[in-house]
Amino acid sequence: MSASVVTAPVVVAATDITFVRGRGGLTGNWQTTGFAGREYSKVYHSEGVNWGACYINTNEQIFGCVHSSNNPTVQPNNAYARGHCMFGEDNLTTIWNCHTTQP
Amino acid sequence: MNRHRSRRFSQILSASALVVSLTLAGCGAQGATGPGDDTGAAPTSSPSIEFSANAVDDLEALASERAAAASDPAVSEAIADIGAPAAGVAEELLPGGIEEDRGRLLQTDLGERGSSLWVFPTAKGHACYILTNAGAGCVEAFDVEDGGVAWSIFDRDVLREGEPVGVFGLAADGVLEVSVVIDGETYSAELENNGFFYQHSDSSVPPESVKQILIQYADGSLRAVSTGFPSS
Repeated sequence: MSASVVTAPVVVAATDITFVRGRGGLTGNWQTTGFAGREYSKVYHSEGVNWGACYINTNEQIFGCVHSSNNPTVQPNNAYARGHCMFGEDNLTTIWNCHTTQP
Repeated sequence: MNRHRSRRFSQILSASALVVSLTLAGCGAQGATGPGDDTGAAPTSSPSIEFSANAVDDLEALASERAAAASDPAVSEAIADIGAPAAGVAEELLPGGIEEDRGRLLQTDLGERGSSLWVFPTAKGHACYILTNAGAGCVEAFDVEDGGVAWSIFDRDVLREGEPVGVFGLAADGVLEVSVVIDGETYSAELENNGFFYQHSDSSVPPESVKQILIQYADGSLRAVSTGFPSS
């Protein structure tokens, strides 16, 4: 009879990362370079500017978007994806930060 | 849920154009849309109501005795996500710690996934709203420029297919009706307990087709707020 080894699952908290940060700019899209299990995608930004917090799946499709002018804009669902954020207004002048998590 | 086109609100807007003093602001993220938009530019007038310095003070629902305990794991997850450490973010951009025990359930059984809409105050007096399994956002204060509403547009799956796009958010006290303009057509949102929700019926419509939020106030005034998506 072979011995079996049972190990308790190790729960490792995901780490928040800022995958892009800036001040001002023109209409743009940003994403993480790699795929991973992620717990959220969110953007901190000045109120009154429409930002989108989304994911990109392994077929390179944008999904799970939440757009809002409120701060932060949060996509709270878990996904195996790239983190993705975007805004569609030109001549932005304020600071913004796009976040997601990585294992 | 009301998924039908809001002819009544459209009629109100059309009639009001004749009697109200129009305050057409220039095109922009926060202002009402003006001539040149492709969204069927709606007449606007400033509401007589005044908004507080903190969003939480303009939401009667937060003072109600409605259910507070967020037993839904999706709500707890969203709360954790909002409050997750955010290194490098300026303090003024952080909403403040969410006061979970003061949260209120605003609406239930919304849209195709039967989502719930919640609101939570923060230590800074901001109001964070959560639509379960869809999205979340926080608002610092309501003002006339944003029409007294905080809004989010969600599309839970791949763009232009699957579940249709939807709109949800908070409406300050004094807001009587909220509608959304999608591809030039107006649709009424379900407004209850300071929360509003609308989900479209056409899966092929992307979020950027939601061009305006229309707000009617208890004093009879109207306002059209741009969502900031560029005209197509």
